[in-house]
Amino acid sequence: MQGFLDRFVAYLAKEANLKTQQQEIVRFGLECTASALVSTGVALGFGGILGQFSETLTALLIFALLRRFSGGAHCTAPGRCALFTAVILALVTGQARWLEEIGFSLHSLGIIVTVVIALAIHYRWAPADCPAHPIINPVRRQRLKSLSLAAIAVIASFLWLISFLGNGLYAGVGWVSLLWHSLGITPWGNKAVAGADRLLATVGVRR
Amino acid sequence: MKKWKMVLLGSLVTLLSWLASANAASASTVIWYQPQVPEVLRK
Repeated sequence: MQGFLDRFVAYLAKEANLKTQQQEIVRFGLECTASALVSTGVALGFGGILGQFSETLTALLIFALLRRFSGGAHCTAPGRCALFTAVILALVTGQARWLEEIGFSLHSLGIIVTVVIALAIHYRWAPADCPAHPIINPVRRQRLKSLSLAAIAVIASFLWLISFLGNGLYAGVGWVSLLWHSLGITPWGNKAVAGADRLLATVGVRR
Repeated sequence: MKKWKMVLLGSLVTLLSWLASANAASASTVIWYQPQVPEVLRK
């Protein structure tokens, strides 16, 4: 994919007469969009094969909303990200399905406990930035922390409503997603993702 | 260059620049891969 992106940016630079700085911006925009589309497609496709497309989409939306404000751990290559995204979302939705199958009915309690854990973790560690995307401005850092806490409150309200309406499966998908995302922004979550990234590279997922 | 091609390329560059700014303004990408943010967009 990188070779194609390089050629496409070179084409745009030539045709639209872009300066070096503009080329870097356009390349970054293109790389973000392409990797998001590929990873989302792989994750939803994998979810569809497992027969849990809508649950995977729900989990993906929750992760996406939270990661915009609170950041999180990263893989170092788009291919590994696509695989990791698919596996994590399958684990999250699989857990929610398992809870549904064993007749777990304490979703309100699950939501409350998860929201308390999520708020504490986000208050301590959000926003979790990385060397590729550092957050330099302390005012911006504080604003992102506040927005991530607000996002948790909004998600919690929706989950409580879904649980109240009696849809245990989606309430479960919601709070399990919130819990996994929250653990992912802790230093241990970052180490776990870095370990998974290295493991995928070792088994041959190079890009 | 034909006019429609100029408009198309200009729109594409504008859209990609906007997407780059939006991604740089958030804490992270929505998936588990984070491309290197260009110096000029870091804040």
